[in-house]
Amino acid sequence: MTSHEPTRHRRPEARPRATLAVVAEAGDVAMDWAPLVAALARTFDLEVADVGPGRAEPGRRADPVGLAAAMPGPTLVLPSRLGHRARRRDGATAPVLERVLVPSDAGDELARASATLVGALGRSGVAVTVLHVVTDDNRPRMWEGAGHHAVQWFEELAARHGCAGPSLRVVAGSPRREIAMHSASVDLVLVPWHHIAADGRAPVVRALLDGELDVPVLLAPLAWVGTLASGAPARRRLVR
Amino acid sequence: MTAPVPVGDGGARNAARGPAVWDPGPVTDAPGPDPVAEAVDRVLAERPPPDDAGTVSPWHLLVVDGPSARRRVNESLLTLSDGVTGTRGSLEEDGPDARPGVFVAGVYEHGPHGESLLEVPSWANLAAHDGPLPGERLLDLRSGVLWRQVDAEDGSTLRTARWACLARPGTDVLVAQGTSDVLDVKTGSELVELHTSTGGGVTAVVETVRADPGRRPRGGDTHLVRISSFATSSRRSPSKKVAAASHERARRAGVVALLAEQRSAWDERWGEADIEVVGDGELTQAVRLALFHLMSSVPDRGEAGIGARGLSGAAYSGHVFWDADMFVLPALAGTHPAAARAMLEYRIRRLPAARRAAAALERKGARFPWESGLDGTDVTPRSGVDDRGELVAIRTGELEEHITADVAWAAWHLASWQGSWRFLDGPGRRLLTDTARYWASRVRRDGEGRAHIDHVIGPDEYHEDVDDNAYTNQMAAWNLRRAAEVVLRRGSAAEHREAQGWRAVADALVDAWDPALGRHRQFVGYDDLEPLLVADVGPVPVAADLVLGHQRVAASQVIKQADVLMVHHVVPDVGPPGSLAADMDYYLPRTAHGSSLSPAIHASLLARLGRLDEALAYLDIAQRIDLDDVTGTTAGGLHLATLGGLWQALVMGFAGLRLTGPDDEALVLDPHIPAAWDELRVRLRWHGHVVRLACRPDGVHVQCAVPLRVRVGDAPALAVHPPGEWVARTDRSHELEQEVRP
Repeated sequence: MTSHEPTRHRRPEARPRATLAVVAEAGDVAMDWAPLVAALARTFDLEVADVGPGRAEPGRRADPVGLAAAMPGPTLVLPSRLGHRARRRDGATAPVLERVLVPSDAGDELARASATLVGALGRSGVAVTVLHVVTDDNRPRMWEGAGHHAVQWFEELAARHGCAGPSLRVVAGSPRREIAMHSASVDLVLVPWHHIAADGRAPVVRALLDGELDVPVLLAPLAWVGTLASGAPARRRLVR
Repeated sequence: MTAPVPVGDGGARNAARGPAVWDPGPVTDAPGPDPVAEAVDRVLAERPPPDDAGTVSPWHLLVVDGPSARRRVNESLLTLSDGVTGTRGSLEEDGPDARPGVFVAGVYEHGPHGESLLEVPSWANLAAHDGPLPGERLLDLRSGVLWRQVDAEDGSTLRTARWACLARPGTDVLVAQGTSDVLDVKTGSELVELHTSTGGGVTAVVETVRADPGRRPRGGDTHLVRISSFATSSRRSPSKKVAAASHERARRAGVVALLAEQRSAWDERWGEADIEVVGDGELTQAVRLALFHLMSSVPDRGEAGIGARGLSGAAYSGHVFWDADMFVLPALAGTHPAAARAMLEYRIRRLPAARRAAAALERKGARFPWESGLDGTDVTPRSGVDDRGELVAIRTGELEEHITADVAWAAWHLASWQGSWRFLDGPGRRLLTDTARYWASRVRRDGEGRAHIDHVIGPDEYHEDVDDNAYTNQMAAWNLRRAAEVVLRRGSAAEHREAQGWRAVADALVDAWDPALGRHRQFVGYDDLEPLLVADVGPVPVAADLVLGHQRVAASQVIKQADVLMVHHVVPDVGPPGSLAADMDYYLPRTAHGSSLSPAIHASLLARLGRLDEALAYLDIAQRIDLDDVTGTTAGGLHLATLGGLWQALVMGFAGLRLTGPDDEALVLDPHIPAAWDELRVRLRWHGHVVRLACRPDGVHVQCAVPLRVRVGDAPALAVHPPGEWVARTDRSHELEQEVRP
């Protein structure tokens, strides 16, 4: 502060409705995934826009990361087939939104975004697993022991991501490999990201989509997630 | 536990109990200023003015509240304690990311992780606004008051001030003023009673009063005052009368007087316990924050079992480790000895449990547990998890035995600061003799008569179940010798014979010094391990056990923290001349600093060696551990031992203060002041007197109200007379230390 004038703090404002961009190889693919798209639209209060085919030319996939970076809101990248995600409901095959994997590097921004997403999904009854992959870049610098320190470290990691202990999974290794492996048991991988596709940025996002996961990937720009946080219903606590 | 029990309307009770500063008084036709509003305004007007932009105030910790993963870290940093309770610095309206709580000193509860410090709901919660308000908070270290200011763009405001009364442990105060849209609080008085499964409990009177809406000085604003008074007991139900009487005294004093009292109490503390690094405001702020939490976390009467996180969080369950004896206690012994004495009272009262622990192992004397809580039995968990949640056995409770000598060292250390044998000849004597008796029965004699201590874990916890650990053996020998000294001063013939036996054991104990290597060996077989340097693992600090895995790190020479070097820190004359430099040269490149205890100790030792650039680098790590949440666990409370280590690094390392024992005739200093600092100013208590030091590379200005003998470096001691004198350093002892390296 430079003077005795108090800093004026802006209170949260009402958020405008965002658009969910859906990237699929073809229109019929998007149709196959329609129930999941609808569930996402309901959960996050989104309008849906089909941004067209996901292939630039036969045999080659377009740059979904570049596409997502060009979209103002979240982008859903659909795989080419339903795979095991399809569920039998009343005799019909349809994808569902019951289990979501949210990867996080445990940095402040992604942790905060994860907490917002976990909250929104949780309110819709979706089971969320936050996956933190320990790498050389994010490994704790001090580890004081397997007892109290570890208990507190896990508790705080879970709290930062807005989830209880059992829905937090911590593994070590390659983020791309671990996310791919853990995606086998979920209906959606929801990736908070910085919304920048320039060379060298978003390597994990790029690797995930290049790897052609057999599961939809929702790229959630941090700025958009921030609007969810500010618009989320707040709790009124009357303690005394 | 029982639920809170409301006991009626506060307004009616106020009238019945007589005048207090917030009493509205008789209603008149022409309403004057409301006394509550007036008192609130007077308190809030005392908020310190903002600091200049871009500067770090050495007395203020400023926190900007908003959506942040740091919220719970800030709550720890802004904890307000008075030695009886510690209230985390949560926002008054807390919110979904908050981890509010009040921790009660010395009262334990059985919980999911075993015995843990009792936590009660925060007394500081207010019904305010939907969700946390953005704003700023300022912890004024000088007065121990946490100030808050919120100014929203829509015109809503909130101002609060709260403090834990240092002069009235167990009494907490909150005043608030805000627009009615953010501050809508019920008034009244509550009696809260909590009983623990361990037989103890808490009784609290929490009373909130609000300005009369009809007499508000400004339309729409709400003014309120809350005073909370706690009575606690570790083993029985606390008296309601005590809490009520304490509360009554506080309310009669009124919040304006309570604030003045708070300022006065902290002024007195800071007058005896301050460190200022002239030329480094950030470091000064960090060390004052450390002193603030150290002094406020520890009561100065009765007993004080100080958990690893003090009263600032739930982590470590309030368990008492060697952190208390070796890291926290020295800082208090040198600043507020009554608190250090209370910490030792905790150990004295748990000697029976320590004796039972020794007897259970068929040994004599007393064996203190690695972790303890209410009754002094070992509460160390037997298993835990690694960073991936994999189950790991924990063997520290079984093997990390050096804590028994650490307790003895702490007793001796306090006596050395006090310059008096009274404690060691009296209640502290058993802390030395019973522990010495344990070590004498613990050693194994080999065929050549040498004594060994097998199967231990030293401070370096990467290597478990080792024999003749340097730290353990050296501290055990030190314990035996000092206990003998105590007994031989005063004791029966039989006791003298036993004491002579202790000396013989100490002399026979393998001291880990290897003349051929020219350094101490950390334990038997250490030199045969994989000769890995920490530079091969990563930049320090590094959790080498997570990088390499437990098995490989255990099979390597990489160590977690100061072990051999810790001996040099606590027993500065250990080993032959030059051994500190030799051990530093060898062990520093092998130390990962995977423990928050490690960097400050290295900073201290490197300063002693005159390696000031390296010392500053480690000091920087130490001072940022909680401020930057380096361990990822500060949300669970402050690393109290790190805070104590920071004080020790500056006093024992950079100022070079050295203690030998209660018979020290001179204050011994050996300042090593980096060029980046203009001066290192220290206030402390030595031999019962407040001493002010202004340390520079070429000497020290010493101030004291009584004549002192002061020795700087290796020069002869000089007499220093009031009000103070400059004592020049005339030697180059720190350079000699390096020249005699093997």
